[in-house]
Amino acid sequence: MTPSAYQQQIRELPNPGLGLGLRSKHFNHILEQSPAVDWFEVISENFMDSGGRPRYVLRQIAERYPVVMHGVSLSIGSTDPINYDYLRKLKQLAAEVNPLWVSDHLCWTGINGLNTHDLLPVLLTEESLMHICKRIDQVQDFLGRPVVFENPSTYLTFCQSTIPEWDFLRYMAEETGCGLLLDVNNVYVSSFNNDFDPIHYVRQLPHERIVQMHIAGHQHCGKYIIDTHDRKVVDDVWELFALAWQLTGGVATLLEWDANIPDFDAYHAELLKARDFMQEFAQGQKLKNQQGNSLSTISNPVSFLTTNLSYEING
Amino acid sequence: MPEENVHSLNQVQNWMQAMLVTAGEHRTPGGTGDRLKPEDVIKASSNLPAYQHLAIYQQSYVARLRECMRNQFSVLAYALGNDLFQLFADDYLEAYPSNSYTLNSLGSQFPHFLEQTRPESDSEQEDWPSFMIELAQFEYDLSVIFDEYADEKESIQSAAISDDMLMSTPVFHLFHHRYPVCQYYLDFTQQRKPELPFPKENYWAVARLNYRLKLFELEPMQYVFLKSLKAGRSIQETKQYFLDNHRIDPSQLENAWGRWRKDFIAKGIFTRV
Repeated sequence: MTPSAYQQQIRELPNPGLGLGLRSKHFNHILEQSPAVDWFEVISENFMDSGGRPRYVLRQIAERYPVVMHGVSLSIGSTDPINYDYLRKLKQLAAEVNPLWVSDHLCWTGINGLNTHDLLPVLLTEESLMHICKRIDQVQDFLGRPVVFENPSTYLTFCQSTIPEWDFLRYMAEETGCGLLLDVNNVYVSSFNNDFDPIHYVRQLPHERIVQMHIAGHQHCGKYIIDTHDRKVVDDVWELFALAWQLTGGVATLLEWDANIPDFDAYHAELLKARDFMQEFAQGQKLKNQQGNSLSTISNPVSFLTTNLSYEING
Repeated sequence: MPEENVHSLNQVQNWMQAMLVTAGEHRTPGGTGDRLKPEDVIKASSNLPAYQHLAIYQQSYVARLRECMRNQFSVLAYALGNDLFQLFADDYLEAYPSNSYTLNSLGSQFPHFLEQTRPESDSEQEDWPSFMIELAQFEYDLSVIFDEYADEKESIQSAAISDDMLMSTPVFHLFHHRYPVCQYYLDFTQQRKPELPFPKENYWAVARLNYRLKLFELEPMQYVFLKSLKAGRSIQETKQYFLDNHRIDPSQLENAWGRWRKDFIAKGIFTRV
């Protein structure tokens, strides 16, 4: 398929509304209560190798709610060969749950066969852009669908980088027809850590390519910010979200919460602030929100990606 | 930028990964052997010098995987104590950095690593490393069983079924341990704060029923009987195998089987052939 065909598919994607990340802690609540959530984002790697309860639950949830598959291991920026074993499983899972779209990150996770399980920053150069576009073509052709790529939170800038990230994402989308997932919190975190203006970043993006937004909480450590996904969203990020909402015309929005995960109702309530904020924004008001305190400083927390058996054992 | 500071994409990735995984034991590939410094590759910002930008990734790499190990081996972490567990986990992650896209296999070599690096012990009474190794293996095995591919079938509820229609549930595993690791595991998950146990040979079964794991202790002969069933023998063949290989007379076996059958059905480990 051509980039323009993928681009057309991206344009035709629906806006399912406000979504939540599906976490194992909430499985029972969702199955028993069927809460009024517009859609769920599932971490592909939590389910693609499961022959047990996680996949069994996902099949039931996918029958009741729209689902989006969000991955953390595609490693589109790596100089290692593409892992087709991984892609086969991803494609198989997509065939099973019929997601609205499949997304991952503009990053690399490892090289020489190793995996750091981090979303490492890509070199923003022409060589890197060509390398990544070629791999996106291969991945999209294998999956038979466009892939949506998220801007990661970054903690460094390479000396050699010559292309601003917003332009890199634009060129990437133009060359391959892929979609974009704008993580507003990541823009905020990266801008503080790497000395750029987050508002300029959001304004420069190709808004028509953005199919989804993420919002999340972070930890401010004084001289840097860590993307911890473990607390409520701060005012500055809500305001950046409002700008992005305005510029994109409104797209599917998801609240990420990956560490210190609250009970379902508290998680859902935080998401619904996005709706309140959209309404208040439309009325010219500002929502004030306090930042929570926590000692967690792990970027891109991933421990929720490991199986937690504490709810699954009977003596 | 000076030409000597321009590196290929592959070189930059090799360098950065080495700085995370092997704490910087990396030299420029194909270069003069000079060690690259963070400031050669990374820009300083208004708040932080280059090396501190890199340090955020370095610290997160270790902390993130440590947390995953603690999650995957939560009972072992309790048994060892957090500090000792962290020492072992850090050494393990250095010796066996992850080579998989899935974190669920992060600890797959951990029991083997603990075996390889076990401290010498001259007393069987204080052979705590053996207990820890058995516990680590069991905890990892449980995570594999939990996600094992199988079409689950409904357990048989009634004893009114002939023996030739009985088979064990699709996800069913047997364990024979030198230490009571299964009891220890259950005690921990039920917040009983178990103490380091003494050696005691024991036999357990783990069944996945309705996608949840169930653990129960077996008598030694039950273990042998179920092991034979798992090996593919029918109940009738297993009984014959028993008579041929164990000192038990037919009436004793029939009595035992009647009792076991009721117990196994009550526990839900049989399904219809």
